[in-house]
Amino acid sequence: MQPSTEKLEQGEPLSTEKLLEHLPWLKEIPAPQLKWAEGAAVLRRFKRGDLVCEEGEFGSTAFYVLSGSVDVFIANQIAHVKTRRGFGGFVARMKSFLVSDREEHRDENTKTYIPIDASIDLSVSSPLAQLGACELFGEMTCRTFQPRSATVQAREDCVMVEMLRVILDMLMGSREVDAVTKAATKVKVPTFKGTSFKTELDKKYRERSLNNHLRSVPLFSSVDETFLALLNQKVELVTFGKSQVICKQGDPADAFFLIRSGMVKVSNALPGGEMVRTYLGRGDYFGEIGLLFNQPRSATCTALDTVSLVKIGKADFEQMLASFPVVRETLVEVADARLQASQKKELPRGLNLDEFLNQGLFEAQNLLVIDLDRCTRCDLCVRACAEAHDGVTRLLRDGLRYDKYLVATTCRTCRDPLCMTQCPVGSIRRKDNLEIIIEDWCIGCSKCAELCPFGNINMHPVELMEELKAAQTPAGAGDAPKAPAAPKKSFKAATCDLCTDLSTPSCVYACPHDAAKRVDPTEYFTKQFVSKSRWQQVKFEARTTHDADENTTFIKRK
Amino acid sequence: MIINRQHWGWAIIVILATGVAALLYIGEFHPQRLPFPLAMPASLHRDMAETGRSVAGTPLGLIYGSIAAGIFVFAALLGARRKRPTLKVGRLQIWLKAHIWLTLLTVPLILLHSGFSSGSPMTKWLLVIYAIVMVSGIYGLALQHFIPRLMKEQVPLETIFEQIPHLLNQMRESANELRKGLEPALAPAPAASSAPPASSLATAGIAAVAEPPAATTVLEAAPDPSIPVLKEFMDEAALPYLAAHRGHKLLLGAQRVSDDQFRLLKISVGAEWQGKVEQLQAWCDERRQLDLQTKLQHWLHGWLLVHIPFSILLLIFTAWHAVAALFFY
Repeated sequence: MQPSTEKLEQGEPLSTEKLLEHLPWLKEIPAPQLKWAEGAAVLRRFKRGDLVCEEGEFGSTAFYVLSGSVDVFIANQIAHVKTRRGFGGFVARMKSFLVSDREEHRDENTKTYIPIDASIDLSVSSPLAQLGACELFGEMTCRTFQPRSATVQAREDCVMVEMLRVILDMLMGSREVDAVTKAATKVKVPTFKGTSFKTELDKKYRERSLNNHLRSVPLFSSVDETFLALLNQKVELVTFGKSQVICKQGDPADAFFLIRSGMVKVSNALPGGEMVRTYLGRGDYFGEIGLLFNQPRSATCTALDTVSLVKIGKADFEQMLASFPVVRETLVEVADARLQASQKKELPRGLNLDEFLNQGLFEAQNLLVIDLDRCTRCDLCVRACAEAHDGVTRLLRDGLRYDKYLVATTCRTCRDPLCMTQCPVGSIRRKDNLEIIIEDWCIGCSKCAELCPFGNINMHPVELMEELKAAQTPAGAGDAPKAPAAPKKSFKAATCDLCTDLSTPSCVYACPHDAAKRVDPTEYFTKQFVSKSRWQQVKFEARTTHDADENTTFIKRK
Repeated sequence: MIINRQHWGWAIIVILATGVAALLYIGEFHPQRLPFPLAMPASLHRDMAETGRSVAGTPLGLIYGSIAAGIFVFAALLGARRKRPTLKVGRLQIWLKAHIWLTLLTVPLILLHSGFSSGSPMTKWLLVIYAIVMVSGIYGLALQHFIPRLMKEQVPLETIFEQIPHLLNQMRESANELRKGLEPALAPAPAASSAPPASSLATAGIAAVAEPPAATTVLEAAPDPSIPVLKEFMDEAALPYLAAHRGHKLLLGAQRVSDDQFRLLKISVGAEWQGKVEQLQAWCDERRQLDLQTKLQHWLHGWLLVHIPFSILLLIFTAWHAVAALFFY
């Protein structure tokens, strides 16, 4: 065994003895294994007003508060980028603004809490909360190197242990190495069984946060306190390791799950392989379809990283449905939408499937295609997009070709939205129509932009929108700490918004040759090519018959 | 824009408008040719013999002329409309359809306006300019029917037009690096084990494209006969082609010749160089495609260099014609 090779640059190095003093649960770890903890933790002292970490910055450590308290908040403006027409009637240019949900309420925007990398959630209306002694934060950053989900500032002088993953794993006991990693690395990675720290953390979570967490889910908003308290006692807190299957398609439905932390991949097994339906993060839930309709699991749910879940057993779930019809109604609506979305994903028939799948077109659900037989390469589509988005186009007239169509480089609203998989605050999500939208609480860390395989997410500088800055200050901001709360250079993620403010996307509207179209690729290409191929088949059959007749005649003549 | 069945509506409108205009013209100026009487309202009727004016000077002629002039102005506005593609004044597609079909409607209108006579020298010039505008427009429209398709089929590596010089530059630089990489390999090996130091290769910027390791090993024993062949080909054919302003005039500019040359080169060089030759061939092929794209792009948009200036000239002449005819004639 070797000690941790990673280095912590700031703070007072902790000897094993000191570490055991601050984190006594580590005494449960066998002494030989404790060697791994050497150099993997430091003691950090912060004065009042000091920044512990900033939202969006990358890190690999978690913090355990020994004394004092900290403010946890989102410093970025709680608003989304909206492109709309400026003043000046029909000659007005398109302009991008920051718009809060109060000004423009977006449908289905039912979340009232921002999930962050701590045991608490932040309210959307006032994204500020406090963490005190004996609290842990930064667990997901430490485990998966996600950007920090919130800014943490010392509320008073405080002392913390900053730790690398190895110590977190010792405490929580959830380090699991998948077979691929095991095969790929020669370094022997130990596994830790965990300590009572995890149990204590779960207990604290159950006492302090579970009710709030349950309440933050729109589904449980109508459930009364008594039932919630009952549920609190009955639910099971479970953890799954990376790549572990939580529930499998076809298995009997036995529980409902609420995600406490981590990301869950929801997928369907299809003849061509696995089809990812969506990714769910903290605050999302799954497993309701099987329970509601008394049917086997309709999808497989897999942990993308270490996932902590709140598990509600079938009996409790059914009791809740019987007692609260409103919950049932909400769930049925959600389940219907999810079922419909999965039914849309049947493989199209009659298409050149190899090409269709290789280009990821089946994964796309709203594609900008340009008919190359019609397009005169005038680039008006690009100019229109730029004109509609402050001179910065979100469309590139380049990309792969499918038959006579150019699949332009712009948001495809993928069915497997990789851009969503590592958002530290869960601010990128889908609407029911699967359109990808970015929530107001985007912290501008650009993780989604990095993850988009097609480079279709832009980081929009916030400085350009000074005129609306004052209006966007979140309610309760008076409680928020002073400078440096507002970052000097801030960004918001923006993707092709389909020009939803307009009746037609600008690129399509501007195309003078009817070459640019926004389409559902499966539907459109099936319509385009299947009818054609049927016609060709008919022609081919006719020709074959004719040729056969000719041959017969020829043979006869011979 | 491709003329297809979506244009039926416009075609019918133009045909009907032409028919009505012709009917009115015949009714006004050649009533005896109609099987039925068609009299113009008294306020619009002017006897040419009485006034001594041409057809264009009559109320009906003026109406035709004014409509045609109005269409010219509308057609010219398409240029301004394209500058602001997101303006909510109707889709550009409709503007372009209207541009095409309404300007076609001006042909009968102008013929009827002129009474099938070319008139004075000024109107003769006007007609010549009009003809140039119409012919160039129809020519451009015809090109739009097959050049995009040709580009799709012949240029699978099509890229953004503005990026072509950048891509050509990149390919040229890569080929130059490949050429430089051939030099140290030819240098006589001072000792059996003394390969050129990595740092010197890196300094020369050729680490990535230097000869395959196998070649060096062979060279230590004897010079690789492939290298002079490759050098000669690159110096005489590939590099000049990749660097040329107009590549199509050179040897590798023709697809068939290029294929033959590379086939010959592949036979002449050793197996370890095949990858490099294929890379070089890919650059030359891409260069050829980009040249073709440039050419087709120029064809596709080149007609506008005639169409637009003459359209402006037409507007000026029309305005002059209108002022001269109304106020001085």
